[in-house]
Amino acid sequence: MKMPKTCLFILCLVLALAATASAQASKVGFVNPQRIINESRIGRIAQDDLARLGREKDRRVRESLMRVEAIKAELEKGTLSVSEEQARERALRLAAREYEMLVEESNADIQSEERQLIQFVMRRADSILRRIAEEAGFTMILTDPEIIGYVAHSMDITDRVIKELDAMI
Amino acid sequence: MHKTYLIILTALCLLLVGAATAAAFGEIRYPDRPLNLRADRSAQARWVGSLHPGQKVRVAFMKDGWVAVFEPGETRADESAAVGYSNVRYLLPKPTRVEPETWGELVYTPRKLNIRDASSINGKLVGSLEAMERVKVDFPEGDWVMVFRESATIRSQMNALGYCAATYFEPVTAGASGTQAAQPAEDPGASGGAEVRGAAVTPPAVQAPPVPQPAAAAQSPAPESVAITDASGDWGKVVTLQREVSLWRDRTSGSTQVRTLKAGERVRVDFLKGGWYAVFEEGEVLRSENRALGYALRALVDGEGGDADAPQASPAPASPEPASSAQTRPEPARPESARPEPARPEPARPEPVQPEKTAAASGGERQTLVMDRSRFSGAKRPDPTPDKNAHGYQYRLLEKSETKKYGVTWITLKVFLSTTKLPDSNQLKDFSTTLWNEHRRAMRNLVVHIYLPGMDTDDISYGVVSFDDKAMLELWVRQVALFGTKFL
Repeated sequence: MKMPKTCLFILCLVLALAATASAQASKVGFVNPQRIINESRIGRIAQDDLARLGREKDRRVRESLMRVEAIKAELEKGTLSVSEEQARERALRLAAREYEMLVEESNADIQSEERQLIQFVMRRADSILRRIAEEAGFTMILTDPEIIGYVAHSMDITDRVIKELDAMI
Repeated sequence: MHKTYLIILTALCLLLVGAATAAAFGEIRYPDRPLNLRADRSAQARWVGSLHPGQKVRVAFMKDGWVAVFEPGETRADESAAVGYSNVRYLLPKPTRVEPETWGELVYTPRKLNIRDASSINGKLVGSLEAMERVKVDFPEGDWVMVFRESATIRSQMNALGYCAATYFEPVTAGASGTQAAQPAEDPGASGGAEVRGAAVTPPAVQAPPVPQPAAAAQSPAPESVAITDASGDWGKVVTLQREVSLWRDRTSGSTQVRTLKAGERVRVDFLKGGWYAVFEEGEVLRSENRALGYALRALVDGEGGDADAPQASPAPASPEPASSAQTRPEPARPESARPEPARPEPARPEPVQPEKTAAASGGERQTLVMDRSRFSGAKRPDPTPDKNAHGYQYRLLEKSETKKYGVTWITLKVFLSTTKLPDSNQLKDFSTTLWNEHRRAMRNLVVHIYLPGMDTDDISYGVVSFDDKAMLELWVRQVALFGTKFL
């Protein structure tokens, strides 16, 4: 009778120790990349860069549109000879096509640039993230806010990452 | 008798094992980012080509952290068959990110053609192409182009067979089937070329992209092809998936995964671009890219079992290369159709650009961010040493390459500018214009990427100045690229 009781006690002890050990090993942190992009200085600089590119593309698109409108205005005057009118119509079609392609390409370029800039910022944040994780003993850092139901404030290291990123400028 | 069989069987086994061993030298790797190929085992060695993220390559002969890169199907375990060298730390055993990029143009020659080792008639003869033989061409140099095997997958100058005069090539279009182009016609000089050209100007069932409509332009920055189809819903193609296929938010596996389609599901695909299809519900009647469920890799969708119920909307020949250039180039041959309506753009606020509304700033959109952890693993490299002078600046030309984008050939110059003071826009413009004058070529655009001291020259540049063959097009700077330098 005494033997099973002893075994049961040892088993409980082992299980309790294992649970404690596993709890210690799984310290999970969280960082919100969106906040890093929106709130850090480097993130805001990247957004300004993107806006600047947007304005530059917009300038080219407007110029292209003005070319289309200039040809159209010439055509509407109605003072051109038949051959001149045909030439203008061809030019109009070409200009319209160029305008259309420019709009499409500009959007593709901006999307591609946005991805590049986000990755640039996140690579810088990542070096800090890893250091903080090692210092604070995190075994895992989650970065996707969509999969987080709740996170304790102490586990969210976004502010610290932003602060350290800002300190590097 | 049994002994004889046994000996033959053993010999066969040994042969098979030998053949397998010969084919399987080195190992298969995948770059985790766009990766440069060099002529030697050094970052300073001449640039010879590049790999796209997720591209399958064979690597071998590792030395000092650098490996020789081969075509994945290469069987010659010989360094002379290498197509370039790359740092092994960017080549992973499994693909982490796939962003296929088309390169070169699939062409054929209606006549027998010499291949030379230099872009000149004085170049040494290194081989020849048979009439109607298909090859891939890239790296144009004046009137000459580098020629590659049709099956070449790696864009590297070291992968080329040699140089041929570009004038003797005809593009392989959707209309020219494999047999048409491969088999000499009875009168190759006339019918072969003429048929192909004829097909090129009348693309099958491609809907003319709409001229920007005022209202649409104001609402959505990207004008997309929106057209109500006929009653049969005859656009794109309907495929039955042969395997599980992931759909992504954008044409890159670096974007968010939006859905997984199961094997056996039927979907409609269209808008093939960069190796990615836009995927729609099978019954979708509106041909509009913004109604797509997501994007899927063409290789997964087409697979072995894609049954095409409807004709393809995008002319996609056996290889995607020629299609891209043919589709994106302006086609002045088309205007006979409906007269385009550029007359309407008056109120069009073309606003292609709304960076404030982009995902980075919106805050609400879910994103997948790929963190490149290897970037910080090594110590920072020293700045390159300038070796030239222009416009009062000492600089070094780090890289010069040519590539096609939106059907236009771009010359790319990567330049390190040795300066202690941040150059302003005018100075960048003047300096870049000097380079442009030196490197400009007819019918080619040129872009100068400018790096300053302290910057990582493998990362994004500070200044980007682009030109066409007549004038400057754009100039802008990335302040963020100065992070970690004394300029910020």
